[in-house]
Amino acid sequence: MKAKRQRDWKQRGKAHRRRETRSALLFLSPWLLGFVLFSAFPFFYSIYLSVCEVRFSYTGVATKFIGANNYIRALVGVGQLDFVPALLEFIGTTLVYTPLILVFSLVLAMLLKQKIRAKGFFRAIYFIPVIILSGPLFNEMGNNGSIHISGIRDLVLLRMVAAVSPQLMQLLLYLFDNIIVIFWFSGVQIVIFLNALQKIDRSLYEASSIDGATSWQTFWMITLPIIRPMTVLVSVYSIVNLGAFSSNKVSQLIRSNLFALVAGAGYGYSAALSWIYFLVMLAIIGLFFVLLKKRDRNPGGMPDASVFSTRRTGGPRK
Amino acid sequence: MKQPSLALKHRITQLEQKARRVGTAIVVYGLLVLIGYVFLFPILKMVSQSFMDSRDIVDPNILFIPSHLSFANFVQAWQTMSMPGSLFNSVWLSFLLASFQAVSSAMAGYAFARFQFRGKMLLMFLVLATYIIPVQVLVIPRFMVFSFYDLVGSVLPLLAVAFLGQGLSGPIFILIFRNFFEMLPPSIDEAAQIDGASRFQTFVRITLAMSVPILIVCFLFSFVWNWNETYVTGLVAAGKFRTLPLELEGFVASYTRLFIKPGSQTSKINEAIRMAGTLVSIAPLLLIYGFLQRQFVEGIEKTGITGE
Repeated sequence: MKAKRQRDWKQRGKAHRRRETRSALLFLSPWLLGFVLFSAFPFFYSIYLSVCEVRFSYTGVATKFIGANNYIRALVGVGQLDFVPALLEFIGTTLVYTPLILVFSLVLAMLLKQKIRAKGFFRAIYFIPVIILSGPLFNEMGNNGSIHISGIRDLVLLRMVAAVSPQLMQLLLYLFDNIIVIFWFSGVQIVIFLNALQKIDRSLYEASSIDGATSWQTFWMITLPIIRPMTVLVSVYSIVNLGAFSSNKVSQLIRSNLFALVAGAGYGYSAALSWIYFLVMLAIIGLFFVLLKKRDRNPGGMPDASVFSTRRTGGPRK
Repeated sequence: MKQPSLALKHRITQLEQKARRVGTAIVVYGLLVLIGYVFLFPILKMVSQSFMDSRDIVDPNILFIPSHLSFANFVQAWQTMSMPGSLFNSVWLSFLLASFQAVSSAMAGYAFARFQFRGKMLLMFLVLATYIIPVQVLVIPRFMVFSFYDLVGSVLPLLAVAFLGQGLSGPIFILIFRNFFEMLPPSIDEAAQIDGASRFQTFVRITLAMSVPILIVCFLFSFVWNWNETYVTGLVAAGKFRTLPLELEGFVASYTRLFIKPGSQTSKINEAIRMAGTLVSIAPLLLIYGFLQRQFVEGIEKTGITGE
C-alpha cells in the first residue's frame, strides 16, 4: 500500500518534472537559439584558436596547431614579462575593490531608500556614472582630468597635513583617488541594491521595530539575508566590470595582441590570454560565492552558491 | 538627591531624539551631496568647457564661467557629427536593442528563477561564462558568423543577436531578472495558475507586471550601453550606418575635413569643441533618463506588493 503510493508519487513527480522542463525550455528558447546560432561557435572557436598560431590574410584565417605554447609563453615565456604582473595587479585590485564597492553601494542605496527630500534628484545624479562609464566618454574625461577633482591638493586641511608629514599627505591623496574610482564603479550596483531594497516587505521592518530591534540588528537579521543573493550578483558584475574596463592592463594586453604581427603574438596568443583571464575571474567569482553564500541553512550539504540556488529568498522561512 | 520630574525627563528624551534626528539628517545629506558632487563634477566641467572659446580654455583665471556666452561650439559640433541623422539612427537602434534585450533576458531569467529542470546548472554556467570571457576575443569569430549568414553591412546582426538574448552584457540582465523574480513570492504565481492562467500568462500578467521598475532599470542600462557601444557596431555596419557615438569617435577627423582649410596655420581643434561634441552625444541619454526616471520612481511605489 505504502509502496504503491510512493510509486504513484514518483510517477506524478516525473510527469511534473517533464512539464516543468518543457515550460522552462520554452522560456529559454530565444536564449538557447541565440546561443547556438551566435555564441557557441565564437566561444568554442576561441578555445581552438588559443592553441594555434593564427594569421589573418585576404583569403581567411590561417591556423597552425601549436599546442599549449601560447599558454606557456604567456605564463613563463621569456620576453613576455608583462602578462603575469598585469594579472597579479588585476587580482589584487579586484580583491580590494570588490568588497569596498559592495559596502559602498549598499550603504548609498540604503541612504537613498530613506525618506529624503529631492529623492529623484539624487537618484538622477547617481545614475550618471552608468551613462558615462560605459562609453568613449570616460576615456576622454580621464584624459583631461575631469574624473579627479582638481584643487583637492589645495585644501587647507591637506596642506596642514602636508606640513606635518608629506608621506601622510601622499597616502591621503592616494586613498582619495581610489575612493573616487570606487564611486565611479558603483553606479550600476547602487541601482540594483536600491531596487532590491524597495522589494523588501515593509511589514517585516515594522514587526522588528515592534519587537524592539535596533536598526543595526534589523540590518543584520532582515535586510542582509534578503539582499544576500543580490550581493553575489553585484560582486559578479563588479568583478567582470573591473576586468573588462578599457584601461585595465590585462584587457589592454589582450586588445593590443589581437592583430599584432610580431612572432609569438597575434590572435591565438590573445585568445590564450583571454582564457587564462577567464579562469582567473571565474576563480575570483567562485571565491565571492563561497564568502557570500548562506551559511546556516544546510551545514555539511552541497555548497549552496546563491546565484545557482533555486531557493526563494522573498521573506523569512515559515 | 531629588529625582527630576517625569515631565522634565520626558522633555529631555524628546530633545535627545530630535537632536539625533537632526544629526542623522546632516550626515545623510552631507554624504549624499558630497558623493553627488563627485559624480556631477565631470558633467559640470564639460558643460562649462563646451561654452568656452579657445582663449577661455587656457585662461587660468576662468574656472567655470566663460567670459561670454556663445553657442558657436555647438553649431560646429552639430555639423561635424552630421546631426540630426546620426541622432535619429542612434535613438531607434538603441531603443530596439534595449527592448529586445529586456524581453529576451526577462524570459530566460524567469526560466531560471521558477523552474526545476535537468541541465539548469550547466546552462547557468554557460550564461555566466559568456559574460566573463573578454569580449574582444569573441569579436572576430562572431564577425565570421555574421558573414557566414551574410549579414554584414547592416545593423541586422545586432538586432538578431539582441532579440535572441546574446546582446551586449546580456548575461548580467538574465542574472538580474533571475534574482529579482526569485524575490517575488511564488504563491502569487501558483494562485494565478490555480485560476487557470497559463505559464506564459502568469509570466506576463503577474511577474512582469510586478517587476516594472526592474524592467525599466534593465531597459535603461541596455539602452545606455548599446548607445555607447561603437566597436562592434562600427565593424558590423561597415560604414553604412553611423550612430552618434561613432561620429564622436571620428570627431577630430571630420572636424578637420569640414572646418580647417588645407595649409592654413590657424587653429587646430580645441578642447571646447570636443567637449561640446561629447555633450551633444550624451545629452539624449540624460534626457531619456529624465523622462524614465519619474516613471521609475512611481513604478516602485505602485508595485510595492511583496512578501506574504
